Amino acid sequence: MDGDRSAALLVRIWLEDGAQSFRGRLTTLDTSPGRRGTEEATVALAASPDDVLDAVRAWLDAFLRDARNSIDSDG
Amino acid sequence: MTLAPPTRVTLLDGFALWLGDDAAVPLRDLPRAVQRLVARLSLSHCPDRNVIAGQLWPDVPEDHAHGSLRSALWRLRRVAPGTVEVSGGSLSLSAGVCVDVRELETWASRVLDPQVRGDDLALPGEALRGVLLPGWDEEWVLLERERLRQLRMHALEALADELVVAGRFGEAVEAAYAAVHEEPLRESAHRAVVRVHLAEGNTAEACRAYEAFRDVLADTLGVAPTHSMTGLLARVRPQAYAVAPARVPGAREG
Repeated sequence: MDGDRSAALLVRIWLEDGAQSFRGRLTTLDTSPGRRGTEEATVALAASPDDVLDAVRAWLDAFLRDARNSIDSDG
Repeated sequence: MTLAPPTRVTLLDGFALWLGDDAAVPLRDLPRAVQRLVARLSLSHCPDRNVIAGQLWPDVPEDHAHGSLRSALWRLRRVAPGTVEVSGGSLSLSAGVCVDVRELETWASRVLDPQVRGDDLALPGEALRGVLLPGWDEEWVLLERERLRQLRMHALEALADELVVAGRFGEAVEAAYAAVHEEPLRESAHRAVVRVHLAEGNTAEACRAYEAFRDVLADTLGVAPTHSMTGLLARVRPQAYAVAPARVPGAREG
């Protein structure tokens, strides 16, 4: 189905020697059919669990909003 | 008699298949299924035909996946005969086929081998610094891309330190900055940069590198460098870079 929308979110977390908290980078990749070739893009940087969860929620909200808009405009 | 160069698969910075007898012009526009098959065989050490079919065509019934695999093999044999060895239920790249990713792994394992010293090491060539199959979004590619990124990053940091020991400071700083390039917020990579500058006796440059990283870290993550990082400079400029003593768990204040 050409109208399918899909995306991947990669959460990279690492602990530095002696750090009190982790550090992280969240990147997204549009995996929808026909979007091959798009590059990874950073959506958030994080240093706490709340940062990560907020970023995942925001990314998911944006993905669903965009997907619904594209389906509406197709119709 | 001149031997033809071996067939070569490059996956870093994009897919290409270089045939031994026509090595000047790579095949980049092979059908997508053929590219995926060659890439999968180049990256994996699991030769099981069922696993390969299931991984390459995960969303179709098993018999369809095997049909697609047979078709891809047939098409590959037409353009690049001898690239793949088929034996019973196994598929693998032929022994003589070179793969850039495997060269990257060999380089990294040498760098990370404690028996190999800096005198015998070198930066990876430009061809080994690319991203694995950019633009490909299959799950098995994403996982491999991340694994290789991590491998290269760790190896570059280790290489920087080994090159310092060998007194090759120019290459050492290049290796350290290549590690930074892989993940600009990774402190251990920035520590490698600072260590190289200090080893070369360039304290001012080490302080600049530290402060630039400290500012980026504050702006992006709102955190400070660790004591491991600050401690590098506290040794040479204790007034400017004092490290607070570590707190002992359970110790009482006052």
